[in-house]
Amino acid sequence: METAMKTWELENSVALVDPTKDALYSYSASAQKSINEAQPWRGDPHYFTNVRISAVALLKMVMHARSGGSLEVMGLMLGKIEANTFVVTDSFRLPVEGTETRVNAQDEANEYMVEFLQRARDGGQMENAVGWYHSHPGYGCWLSGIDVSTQKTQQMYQDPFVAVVIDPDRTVSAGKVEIGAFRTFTEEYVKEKEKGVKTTGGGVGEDGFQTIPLGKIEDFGAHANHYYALEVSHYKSSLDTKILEALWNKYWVGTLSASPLFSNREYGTKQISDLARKMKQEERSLKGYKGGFGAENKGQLQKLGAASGKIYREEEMGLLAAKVKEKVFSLNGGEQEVEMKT
Amino acid sequence: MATTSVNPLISTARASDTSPAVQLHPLVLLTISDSITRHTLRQQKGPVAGAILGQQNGQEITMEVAFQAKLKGNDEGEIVLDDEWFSKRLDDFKDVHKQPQLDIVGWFTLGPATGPQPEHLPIHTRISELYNDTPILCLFHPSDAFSESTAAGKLPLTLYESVYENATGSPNDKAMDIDGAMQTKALKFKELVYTVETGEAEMIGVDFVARGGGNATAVEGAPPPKGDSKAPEEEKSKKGKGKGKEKVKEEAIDESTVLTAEDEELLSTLTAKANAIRMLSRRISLLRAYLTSLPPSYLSDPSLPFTTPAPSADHPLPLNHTILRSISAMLSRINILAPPDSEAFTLESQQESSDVQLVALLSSITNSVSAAKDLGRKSYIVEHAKHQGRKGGMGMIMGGYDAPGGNANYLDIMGGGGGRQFGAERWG
Repeated sequence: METAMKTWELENSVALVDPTKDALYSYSASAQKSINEAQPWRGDPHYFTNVRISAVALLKMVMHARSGGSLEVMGLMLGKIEANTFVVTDSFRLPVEGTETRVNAQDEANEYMVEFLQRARDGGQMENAVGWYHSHPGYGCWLSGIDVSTQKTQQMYQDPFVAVVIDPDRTVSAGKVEIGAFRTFTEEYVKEKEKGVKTTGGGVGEDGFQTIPLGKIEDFGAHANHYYALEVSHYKSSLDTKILEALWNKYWVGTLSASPLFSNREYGTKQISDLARKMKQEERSLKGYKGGFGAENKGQLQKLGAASGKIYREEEMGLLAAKVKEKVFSLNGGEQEVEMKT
Repeated sequence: MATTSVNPLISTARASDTSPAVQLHPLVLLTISDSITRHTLRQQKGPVAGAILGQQNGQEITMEVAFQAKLKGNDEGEIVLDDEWFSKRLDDFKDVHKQPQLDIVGWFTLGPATGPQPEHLPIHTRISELYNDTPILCLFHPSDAFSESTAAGKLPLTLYESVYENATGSPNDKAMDIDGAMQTKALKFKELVYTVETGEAEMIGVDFVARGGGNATAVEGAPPPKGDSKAPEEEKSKKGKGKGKEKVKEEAIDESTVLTAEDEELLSTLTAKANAIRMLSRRISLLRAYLTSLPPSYLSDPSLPFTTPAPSADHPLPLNHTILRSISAMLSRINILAPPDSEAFTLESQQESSDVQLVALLSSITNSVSAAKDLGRKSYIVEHAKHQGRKGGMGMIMGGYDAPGGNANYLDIMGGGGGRQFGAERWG
């Protein structure tokens, strides 16, 4: 049996991993400890600028967010700190589901969290928790008031800690992962900043314009002063790359046969009706203001225009998919036909 | 798998209808890959193995989530699961995968392409004793990962179901002996067919990850931000790494300044489509190439004998009736799949497209209204300034053109023209 075990272990030694390319996967407890002790982020509120998420962690988060449907879901991220960057190596779900803008870790979740982390450590994942993620189904990536206070508490006691927000609905409609990462400022820093130049839109503007449902609008922006966005990117190992290449050969059919116009109809309708409500509101406020020079409303109409433009783009993308299909298969619904038998 | 017969653990029985159909999700694959990479780079000891969770519904099994398990050696020198850790970890995962409820359906480890090895058995039997009567073994073949076949789209893994075969029923005497020696009561593995399944969000996620995401595509080739040449020994000197990362970031950003986010979005959708179509055409030409390479058939040429022609220099490929039958089935299905009522279909798609155009129209109207209103406001300022005969009027007009945050200015000019500040606040 001894030799058998050796042969099994030998399988590991095949060079699947390029130590240079896949360096992010390594972990040095001592280096992390020294960084944690040095705490270079204490002095600089903008210390962290980037978040790098591993393929597997990203996929887990996206799927979790999507599985929650219209409920907010939440989880934790494991990882390490390198220079100004959070490196997220793995993520796991927490057994909490929130409604609307209220996601908060409860006691049971805390217990789960502690035990999960302990077991991860026993199992050889030595990373600490470096952040939490939650979903904002349909209303974009930003931090609500509650999120801000949660994150502030975490940064006070758990720093370094980062907050990640994923919008599963927009992910599906836009066909790309909608994700944002944020860190909050300390109270003192916010006050100082408010005294100085009044800056707005900490979280917005980074990735263009976001349409926020009317119900959330009071919350959005109200706290924008309290946090800033980090740049999110992801990484994959050389083995991941290989597997993903092979996978593409399996799921390209899905790309071709997908019909976003159809599958996102509900989302699109919701967006439009929300825009219509906002439009009404705007109309009322303009009427109330006779003469309509409305300097104070400047920008609002423009934002509505941008929002409708965004909806149009999403719809157009769906139409494009249908058009492409039609051209390729010339009114032949059977594109599924070309299957993977070959 | 040519070498199958050599491995005594592989069942020689024919695949039966009772074999489950497995749907494999990419997340499982990436988890396995992640485990391997992590394991190697952190120089952990022992083999890599882990559990796979999914749903089992009759003969349909999905494999959705996986985690790496903690292993330990037992007194007999075998590698087994750390039972306590494993059951708790399993509960952890079950707790958070309740809709739909997932349970353990199998496990993964690394192994040669020839099939499971005797040392895999302790874990397998343990799982079947405790959790699932018929766990599926997912064997990842490290030696295949960089081979030709992987590049061609074959995943470097094989799934096996385990069956207890009656020793007398085994057609292979040699296998019997070895089984007896290992006291496994003829536990055999049968290769399973699997398909790769992706959920909607999962597909987008995989796609996103595969493309190098966002606008980083250009940098993808250069082994990106994984830091500059850093072997495991140099791990302690982490400081230098940050710089390498920043450099790559900057390159990535350069591209995004040229293209707006919207262009980027459109481009990525179209590229995905183009890739898919390219793939389709490659597949079709492969089929065509295969068909043309076949020898002439006696069906089309009555002068030929009723025998299967042997492969020759002209026609190197043997006649494979299964493939031919599939092709013919596929061709005959094309007709059926065309919508029976093509007029209604055309109408439907026209309606769809006019809906989209309507949205476009509305959107551009909104923008026009907004522009018109802007014009009105600006001309008011001009008029107002003229009227007042102020000298500084020009300056104010200029300010009006480029100051999105200049609300306060207008309010000053207009002498408190409105107290309804709330809108601007909200949108600000």
